[in-house]
Amino acid sequence: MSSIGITVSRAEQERLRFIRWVLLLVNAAEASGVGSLQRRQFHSLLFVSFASSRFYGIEPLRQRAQRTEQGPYYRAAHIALGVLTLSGLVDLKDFRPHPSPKDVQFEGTFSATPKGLAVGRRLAETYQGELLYQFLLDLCLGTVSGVLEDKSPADSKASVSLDQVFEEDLTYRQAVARPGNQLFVEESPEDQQTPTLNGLKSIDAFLKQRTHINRKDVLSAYQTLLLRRVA
Amino acid sequence: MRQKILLPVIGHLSVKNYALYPGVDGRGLELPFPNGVTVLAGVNGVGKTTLLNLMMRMLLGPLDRAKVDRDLSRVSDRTLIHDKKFSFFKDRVPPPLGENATATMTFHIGKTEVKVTRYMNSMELKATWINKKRQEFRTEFEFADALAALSGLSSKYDFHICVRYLQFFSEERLPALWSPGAQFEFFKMFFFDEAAAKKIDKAFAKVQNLDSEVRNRTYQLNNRRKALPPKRPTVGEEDLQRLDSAIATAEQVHKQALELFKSQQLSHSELLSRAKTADAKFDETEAKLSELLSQLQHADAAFIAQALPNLEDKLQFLMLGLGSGRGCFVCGKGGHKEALAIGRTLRGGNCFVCHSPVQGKGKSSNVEPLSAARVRQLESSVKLLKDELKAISEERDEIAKKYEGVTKHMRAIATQRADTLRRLEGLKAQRPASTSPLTDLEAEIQREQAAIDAMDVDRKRFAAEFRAAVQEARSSMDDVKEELRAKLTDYAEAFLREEVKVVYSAQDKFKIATGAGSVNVPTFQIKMTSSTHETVQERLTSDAVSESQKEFLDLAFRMAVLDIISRDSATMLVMETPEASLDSWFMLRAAGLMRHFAPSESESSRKLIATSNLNGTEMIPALLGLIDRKGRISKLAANDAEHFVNLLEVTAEAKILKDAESRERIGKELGRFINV
Amino acid sequence: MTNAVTLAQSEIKTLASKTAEISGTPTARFSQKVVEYFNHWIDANQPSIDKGHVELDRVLILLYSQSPSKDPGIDTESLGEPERVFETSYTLSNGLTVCTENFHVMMSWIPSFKNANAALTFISEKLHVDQTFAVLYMSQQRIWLHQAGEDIEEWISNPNIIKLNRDPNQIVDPTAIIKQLEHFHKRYLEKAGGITARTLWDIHEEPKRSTLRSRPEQQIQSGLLPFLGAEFRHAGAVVDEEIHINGKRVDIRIVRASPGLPQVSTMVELKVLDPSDSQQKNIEWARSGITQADQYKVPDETDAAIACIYDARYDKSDIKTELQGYADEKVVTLLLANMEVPPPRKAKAAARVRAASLPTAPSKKAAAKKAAAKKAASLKKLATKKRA
Repeated sequence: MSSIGITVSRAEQERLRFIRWVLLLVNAAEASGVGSLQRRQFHSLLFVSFASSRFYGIEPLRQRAQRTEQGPYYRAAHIALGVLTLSGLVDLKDFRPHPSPKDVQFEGTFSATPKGLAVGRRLAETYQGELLYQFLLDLCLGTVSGVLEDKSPADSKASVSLDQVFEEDLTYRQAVARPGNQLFVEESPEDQQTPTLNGLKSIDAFLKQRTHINRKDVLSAYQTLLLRRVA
Repeated sequence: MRQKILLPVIGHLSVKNYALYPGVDGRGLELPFPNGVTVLAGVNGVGKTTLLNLMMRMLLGPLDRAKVDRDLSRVSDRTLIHDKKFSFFKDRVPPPLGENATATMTFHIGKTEVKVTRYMNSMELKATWINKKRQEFRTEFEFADALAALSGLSSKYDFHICVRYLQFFSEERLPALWSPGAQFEFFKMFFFDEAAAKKIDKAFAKVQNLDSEVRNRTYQLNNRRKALPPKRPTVGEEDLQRLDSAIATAEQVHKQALELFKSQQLSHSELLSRAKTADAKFDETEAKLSELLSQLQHADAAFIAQALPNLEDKLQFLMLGLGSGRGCFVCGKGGHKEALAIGRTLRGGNCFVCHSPVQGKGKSSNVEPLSAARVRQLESSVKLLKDELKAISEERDEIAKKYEGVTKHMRAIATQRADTLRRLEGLKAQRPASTSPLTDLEAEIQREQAAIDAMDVDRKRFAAEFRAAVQEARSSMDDVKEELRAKLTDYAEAFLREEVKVVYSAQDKFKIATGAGSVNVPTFQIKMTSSTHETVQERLTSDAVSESQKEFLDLAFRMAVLDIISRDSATMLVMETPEASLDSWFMLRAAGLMRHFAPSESESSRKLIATSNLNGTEMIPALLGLIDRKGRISKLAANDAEHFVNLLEVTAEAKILKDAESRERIGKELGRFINV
Repeated sequence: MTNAVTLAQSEIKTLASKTAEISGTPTARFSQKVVEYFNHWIDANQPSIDKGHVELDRVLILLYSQSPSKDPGIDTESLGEPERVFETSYTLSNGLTVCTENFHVMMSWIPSFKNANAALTFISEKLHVDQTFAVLYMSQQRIWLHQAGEDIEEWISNPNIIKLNRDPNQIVDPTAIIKQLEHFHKRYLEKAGGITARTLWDIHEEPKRSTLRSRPEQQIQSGLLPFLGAEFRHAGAVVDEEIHINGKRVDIRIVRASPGLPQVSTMVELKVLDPSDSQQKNIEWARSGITQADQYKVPDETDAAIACIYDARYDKSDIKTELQGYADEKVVTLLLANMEVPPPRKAKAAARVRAASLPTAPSKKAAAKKAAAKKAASLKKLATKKRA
């Protein structure tokens, strides 16, 4: 086939892919019923998505997040959210500046907009976009069935917030246990293994023997286990 | 001459969670390297050598030369290999050595700041930054390529050699001044025109390969000649008959072996050709895939850009904000004027807050509309190609496996063929004056000889090519030889305090290969007077000077070369001080020489990092410039503290310090020039 | 709280009661969820149904949306504030409710329709070809399922009706499954005008023959999943597609698990033979379907692997003999079924003559025109939709 003949600078490519990831994540949260996300929940969920995306054969966009008192923090996500909010693709409520020495961060609740959902559907027209949305949607559906609708006896979860569950993520726990101001997803990009991925694989191995399951069920079961750790 | 060469200059090293260097209070090792001389002092076994090695490995990673040869100039395979089992640092501490043991080093190549973090157990890359920006390198080779490109050297191999054998003067150093070949190698890397250097290397590799083959085959041929049985003894009629029947049997056996060999050879060469085809196909597909992947990356990004609202929409949104009375996001003003101002900035292609240029200026980016179907098509092609590549790779592995099996079998059959032939020839040779003037074996020997002769012609041809290329490139040295000669003379005289005559000659015979004659390569030689000789003597070989003097001259040569290639830019030399057998007079000269190379204050950053033993000599104060003309030692000023690193403080407690007497002795020694 | 960075086996074992959820595309999952909801609703409301409290033409429209409150996919200007309703109360049985695929968020925008007719009028006027929704006939245990891509008017006149099978004694086994597969084929695929068949073709003006669109298997799969789901869900079977980590994907899987008994599954692989492909390529395609069906078998679990080969070739020359041998060898059940190729459109002049002579033609033409306009409008709306 003929060459497409388009060049986009590498930095711009990264910026755009990050925007796609962020927008599709916000949309997936909406479409699964998770709904709007607070700043901290958003960054934690983003971290979990990077830690588990290889389960769907997707390369994570970031290998590390910054450690802040308010949980993991991605500068690129912050910028992407700014762009998306300004363009009307993401809705921002309860806006207020965030007391952070870094960047001009803001606190708020992010949620999808009809325009953003339409752009998201367009982005899912390519295979890569489709696969990414499928993964993020499954992740959020897993959150709903594994955390919000979990019917297990751990019923003290009324007081458990989503970010608390996400911050139980195995990769996140490992990253937090390390010194330094970086939270690593994949410590050595070559082995492409994260504790999360290993956890998902062992859940898969266990469940596969007893019942028919698919990737989504594994993501959901994983979050159920995280919830039990918090509750 | 070629472009300016910039060499790495180390700024800072930190080591975390490595038992050998716990640092002060176990906080890890933190070493800044200021301009001028820095001395890393310690007793034996405290880890001085390991530290120098670490600094070197932080630059080079776990890479090594593909073929290790004492002589740098004899290398025909100029490639690096990745030592996956690199364990130099791991072996120096008790196991286990965790992933959290890392070292981070910051260095400059020209104006570029490079920061690298490696795992101590394997020296594998953990993270890299170029000019403080995170940069991913997928392999060590990519990183080495990047450093080579920054330095202006033509390959990562050259970069490796330059750092390892020129900038680092360590335990594993190779002679430079004393080896015409090594001198030639450095000159070629730094001063020769790049194309000429490549040409020389290529011709050299060819000569080397041909040479080793000619020698191997000649050796084997000679052995076969020796194995030829003595000719024509006399035999009786009865014997003759028996002999003839034996010959007939041997002929039969040999014929069978030969046929087997031929059939096997056929499948062998067929497999080989299939393997080559598969290799070519693999390379081709891989290239195609990488091209397609890169296209896809761009198309994918362009597609996202296209799906996102363009600036016009952002502007609209802002206007909406302004129009609805929410006002400007920053100052709250909501007038028409403010709206116009924002519009102007955005249309001009700049961010309305920080005025930085924004991608996709103006109304919409000039990207040609890209349909999702087009991207999908590209994605499908990538997937197909990936599948294809996997299939080819599997096929390739299968062929390789078969080929290996056949080769093994083939070797056995070839031996059998040779054995049966030898037996046949042996029997035939016992026959009195046969009809054929040449036995088969003799004919084969002649054929082999002819083949070797043909190769020899090639070898000579490439040697001639090599010679011509060297000849041609020699003129590149014209620009620098005078300067280099003068520098080397200065350094050598300063050290030896003798009249030294450095001669540049293009006459030094460099033997290309055993059978390929020699080539005159440009080199420097040192001639000097000495206490026993009146006339200026040539000190061509290292035998003519003492071992340690020889080492310092070698050092002087390195300094001279570094001076020339760095000229007014930053430079660095890292060395293990070879002070052991120098008398104190020479020692002071040596220290002076080193301080002269890296003065604390100069326009560009010049560094010399040296280890030194705490052996009671005056080397350390001399290196730190603390000895005055009358030989009095002063103490190191507080603001120069970074120039002296007492490794005893930051390394795992050296055994010697447990014994009070030694502790006192060392304290006393240190007390001469620092406040203990 | 434990901070371990690995999952202990003891933790993982607490998942023993975890049951699988439906996988597939969001709309496929939605359709399955509709079937499940309806089954639960009937279970919960059986007494009122028995007493005849459910009017004959009471209908509930369930409309799929990524965002039921913000982007319901209907014109909400004339409607009041929506009410959030909850799946598990199983009280919802009238009006229009917009749902996420998992029914976690359900917004009732229209509390009730006067009767079924009113609901269909609403659909005809307000809903679009690219929306996925279901009309639940509450007293009939039937669902009219509209999948994105089906023309609304055509669909209303010939809807895809799914009847819930509520037979408590129903047996789910390969024979029953094959029967349903054949049933589905007969109803939706065999004739060019069948509901699913219509979505598979591009019809050109003569003499160019009709051509298959890309990925026809996916279209058939999304029709089959709710169809089989409605048939077997009540009997405790889960019908879904399986996408597993290794990237293997089973088109349709029917799993039965009863407490204390080993799980049983049946795998179905779908393949459509393409009229524009060569004979050789089609045979290879069909064979690959058999090979895949064979590979999907799970030892000690799968009772049958079925390869459904839909023959959409122009000539329909015999390939059965060849394929049957291979299927027998692989122990795969082969279902070879013909699909009619729709005839090309008449050239314009001829069509006009015909249109004049046929009394029903104008209305059909108007409907087509309306559909086209609606399609354009809906696309436009998607692109420019703005909300307060």
